[in-house]
Amino acid sequence: MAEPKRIPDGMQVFSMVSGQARIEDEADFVIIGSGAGGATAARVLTDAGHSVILVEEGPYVPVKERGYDVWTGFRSSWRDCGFQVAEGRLFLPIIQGMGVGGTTTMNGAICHRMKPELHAEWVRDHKLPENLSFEEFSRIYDRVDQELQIAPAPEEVLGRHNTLLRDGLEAIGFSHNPIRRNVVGCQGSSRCIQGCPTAAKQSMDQTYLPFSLRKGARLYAECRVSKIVRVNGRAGLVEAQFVSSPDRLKGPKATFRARRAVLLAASAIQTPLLLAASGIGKESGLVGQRFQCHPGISLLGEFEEPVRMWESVTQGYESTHLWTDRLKFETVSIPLDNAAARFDGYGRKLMENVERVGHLACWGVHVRSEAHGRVYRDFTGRTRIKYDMTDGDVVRLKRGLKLMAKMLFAAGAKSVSPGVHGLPKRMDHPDQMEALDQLDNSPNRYHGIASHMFGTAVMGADRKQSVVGFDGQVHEMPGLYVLDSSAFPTNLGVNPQNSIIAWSWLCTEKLA
Amino acid sequence: MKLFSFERRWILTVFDATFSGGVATLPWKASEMRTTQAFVTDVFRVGPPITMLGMRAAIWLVYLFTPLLAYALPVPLGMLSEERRSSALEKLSMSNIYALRELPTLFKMMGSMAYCASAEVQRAVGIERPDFRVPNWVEETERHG
Ligand SMILES: Cc1cc2nc3c(=O)[nH]c(=O)nc-3n(C[C@H](O)[C@H](O)[C@H](O)COP(=O)(O)OP(=O)(O)OC[C@H]3O[C@@H](n4cnc5c(N)ncnc54)[C@H](O)[C@@H]3O)c2cc1C
Ligand code: SF4
Repeated sequence: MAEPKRIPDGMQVFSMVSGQARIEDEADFVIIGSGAGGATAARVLTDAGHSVILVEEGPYVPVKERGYDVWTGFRSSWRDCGFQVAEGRLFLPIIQGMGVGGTTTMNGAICHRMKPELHAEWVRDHKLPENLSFEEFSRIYDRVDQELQIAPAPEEVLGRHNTLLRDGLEAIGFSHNPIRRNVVGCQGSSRCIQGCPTAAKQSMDQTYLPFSLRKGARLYAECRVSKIVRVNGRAGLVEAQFVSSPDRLKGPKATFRARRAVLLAASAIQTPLLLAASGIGKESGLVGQRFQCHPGISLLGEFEEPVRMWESVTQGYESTHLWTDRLKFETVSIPLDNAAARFDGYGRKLMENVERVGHLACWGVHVRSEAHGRVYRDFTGRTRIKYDMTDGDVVRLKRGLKLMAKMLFAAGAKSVSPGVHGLPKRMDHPDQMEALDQLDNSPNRYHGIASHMFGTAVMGADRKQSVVGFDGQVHEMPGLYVLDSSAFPTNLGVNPQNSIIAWSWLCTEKLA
Repeated sequence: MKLFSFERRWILTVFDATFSGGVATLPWKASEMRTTQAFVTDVFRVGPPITMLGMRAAIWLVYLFTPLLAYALPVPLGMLSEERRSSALEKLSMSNIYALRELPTLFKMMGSMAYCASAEVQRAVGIERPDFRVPNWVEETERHG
C-alpha cells in the first residue's frame, strides 16, 4: 500500500479539495505556472513581503516518488505524458514539464547566461531599452549563481560519457567546457529527466518554491487555469479548475483574485493559449505567432571501452564554439528505456544493440533555428503547434551532425549510428557522413526533439508589433504580466532557464 | 481508454517482434513481462485521449498491413514466422513514406519504455541499481486492472 504523500505546508492538491464545491482565494499577486518564471516571481515578491498565490496545472511529485524508469516521470510530470508534438513535415516532439517546479524538475540543470552578442542583437533589432541592459541581466545572473549554487560539473561525476566528448572536441580543435549546473552534491546518476532522485538538482521545487511557501505563499497544484478576467479594466481574476493527475478527474472550480497583478509564466506554449482564451491578441495579431525553438538531434557512437552513460552527469560537457553559426553541442545521457527507441533494428538486431548499451555514447547538437511556427487551440480545444525547419536550419543540422561524427571518431568510436533516413544505419568512418550532403533538406529524415521554446508573446514598445512591453506587461490588459520566454524576441542559442529566471526577476522586482 | 483484448494481443505481438530475438543475455519475451503488460494498460489509461486514439489506429495498421506493405503478403503480422515479423517491421521502418516508417518507430519507442524499464533487462546489460524498485504504475495497474 503506497503511503499518502506528505504535502508541504501552504500547498493544496486535488485530493485535498476534491470534496469541496468551489475554491476561492485572494492575494496581492496571482502567479500562473510554478516553473522557472513563476517560481522566481514568487521568490522575489514573497521576499518583499507581498502575499502570493501560485496556480499550477501539474501535480506535486515528492522526491521519493521519482522512479528509475522514464515512464514514471513522463506520466506524472511531462505534458501530455511526453507525447506533445509540433506538426510540420516532421513531427517534432516538444517536451515540457508539467508539475510543481515546471520543467526545471526534469531538465538537465544546465545554466547558461545569454550571450552578449545575442543581447546586442536584441538591442539592435528589437530596441531593448536600458532597463534590460546586459548589465541588468548580469546582475541577476550573478545573484542566481549564488542562490542556485551554479558551478561547473566537477571531474569526479563527469564519467567517461562526458570526458569522451571533451576528448572529441579537443581533437577537432573546438573550445569546450564542463557544463555549469545548478546542483548540490550531484552524484552523476544520469536521471535528470526522470526528476533528480536525491534532490541534488536545485530545481524550483527544491529552491524558490519552498522559500516562497515558507514566506507564506499558497500553491494550488493540479489546478488548471482557463482564463484571466478583467476587473475594473485591469487583470483581476483568474478562473481555474482542479484536474487530477494523471487520471484527469474533474474537481472543484476555483477563482483567484489578484489585488495588484496577475503574472503569467505558463511557458511559451501555454502562455499564448491563455492569452488568447482571455481575449488578448487582437491588436498585434501576434499571440501564439513567431514561435521558435532549438531543434536538436543526437548521434550514437559505439566505443570499444565501456562508456556506461548511466554513471555520469546527464549533461556534463558542451561546446558553444559554433554559437555564432547557430550550433551548440552537448552530451545527453538518455536512460536505456528511452534510448532504445533510437537504436537500429527490430528483433535480434535491436536486442544486440540493447546488449551493447554500456559501450554507447549519445551526444546532441541543437540549432538556433530561423524558422517561426505558431501555437493555437483548434476548434476542439486541442493545442496545436505548427512548425517547420527552414532549409537553412536543416543545412546547419547536417553540418552539426558531420562535426559530431568527427568528434565521436576522434574520441575513439568504432562506429556511429546516424539515425538519418537515407544514410546507412552504421558508419565506420567520419567521411561516410559526407553522404548527408547528397540528401535533400527534408526535415523528416531526422528524429529530433525540441525542449526550449520562445517568442509566442514577444516584447516591444509598439503595441501593434508586440504583445507585451519591456516591463512584461500585456499591452491589451494592464495588470497582466508575461514572465516566461514567450516574451523573448528570438531564440537564444543556449539553454534558456537562467534567462527566463532573469527576465522574471527583472520584471517582478519593479512590482515588488 | 480501454483496448479490446485482441488489440492488446496485437500490440504485444508487435512488441515481441521488436524486442525479442534470441540474444543470450536478454532471453525475455516482451509480451510475458510484467512491465510490458502493465504498460499497455497504463499508457492507454493515462495518455492523452487523442494521441491514444491515433495509437489505436496505428496498431490496426501495423498489425494488419505490415506484411502487405513489406512483402506484398495480404496476411496479418501474427501469421508470419517470428523472425519474419521483425524483418517486416524493419522493412516498414525504411519506407520512403514518412508516415509509414514512423509507425514501427512509434511502437519501438513505447516498447522500450516497457521492456527496457524492467529490472531484469537493466541488470542483464550491466545497469546495477541497488535500490531498483518496481515502478508504481506497474503495481497500480495490477491492483486496479
Ligand atoms: C528534458 C528537458 C531538459 C531541459 N534542460 C534544460 C537545461 O539543462 N537547462 C536549461 O536552461 N533549460 C533546459 N530545459 C528548458 C527549461 O527547463 C525551460 O525552458 C524552462 O523551465 C521554462 O520555464 P517556464 O517558466 O517558461 O516554463 P516551465 O518551467 O515549463 O513552467 C511552466 C509551468 O506552468 C504550468 N502551466 C501551464 N499551463 C498552465 C495552466 N493553464 N494553468 C496552470 N498552470 C499551467 C505548467 O504545468 C508548468 O509547470 C529543458 C527542457 C526539457 C524539456
Ligand atoms: S545527474 Fe543524477 S544526481 Fe545529478 S542532478 Fe541529475 S539526477 Fe540528480
